[in-house]
Amino acid sequence: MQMCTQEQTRLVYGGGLLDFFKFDTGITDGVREDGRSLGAGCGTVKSDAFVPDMLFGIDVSQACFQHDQSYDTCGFDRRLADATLMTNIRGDCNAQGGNFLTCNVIAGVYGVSVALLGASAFKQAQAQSCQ
Amino acid sequence: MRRWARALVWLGLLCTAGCKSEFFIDQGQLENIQGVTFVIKAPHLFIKKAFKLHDPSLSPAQLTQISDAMPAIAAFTHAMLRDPNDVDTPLILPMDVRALRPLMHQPSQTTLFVNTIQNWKVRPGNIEFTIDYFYGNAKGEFVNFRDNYAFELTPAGWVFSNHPRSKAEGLLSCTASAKGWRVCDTAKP
Repeated sequence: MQMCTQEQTRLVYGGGLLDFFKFDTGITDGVREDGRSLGAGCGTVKSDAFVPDMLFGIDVSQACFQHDQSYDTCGFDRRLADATLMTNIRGDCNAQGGNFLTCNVIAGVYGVSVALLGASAFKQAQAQSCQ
Repeated sequence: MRRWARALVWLGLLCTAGCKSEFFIDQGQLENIQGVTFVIKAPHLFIKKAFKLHDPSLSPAQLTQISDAMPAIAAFTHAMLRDPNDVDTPLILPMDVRALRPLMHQPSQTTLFVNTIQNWKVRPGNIEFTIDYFYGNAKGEFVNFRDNYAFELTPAGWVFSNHPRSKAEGLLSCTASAKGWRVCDTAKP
């Protein structure tokens, strides 16, 4: 009998239920697995290890990175940045094979989070970028 | 019961003080990689975060060169991302840099972002690398595009010298890695 790892099983049978419950921050031993600096993707340098870049098996890091860069662009409209985050998560989630409910739940979670907690981050990023 | 109430108050305080200020504000960091310090701070904080520096093929001497060139590469990338027709912020790019948006068949007002700066080839006084740009299309999907650049050390500091390859790598195709992360690379011929 041959033993297969979870990754090998995923390659043969696809993600299925395993992927649906997959939450990942993309951090191993304090370093991002993609080789970039902490804070690239979802979360900041301090929260990167707690804020997931992968939710229900959907990689949302690129949408987060665009949102970060929008906040960090002098004069960028915050509401537009937040709305675009949700649009991008939905679109990108669909492109990754996520279903309607999953994509809207993820977009909602991140959308509400940035709406509630993003004000100070936006203010700080604008102050830095408009210097 | 009292213990739970205390825990809730403590959590509330922690979230008010921690979550709102420190936790979600990114002022950057000093990052130490193989003994080399990288200043990942403003200006261009999120461009600096796109540098793929955790690369085992890079020696400390090579990382030192990248660290020195980082502000110049970040400023250059920032200029590449901007709308070339923006009259408020005239471009400071050399003439021989390939314009991105025509290559991507996009109008000048398309907002571009940077994903990863990587594929380092470092020799004394010279650094080659690629930049992966992206934009979100009308459906909210990402379109990824790669071009290559070389910087050289001059008496004035690190400056763009040329494109190492005559053409940009172009559009990237993205697939899911074994762990489920999306990996974008040039389409295999």
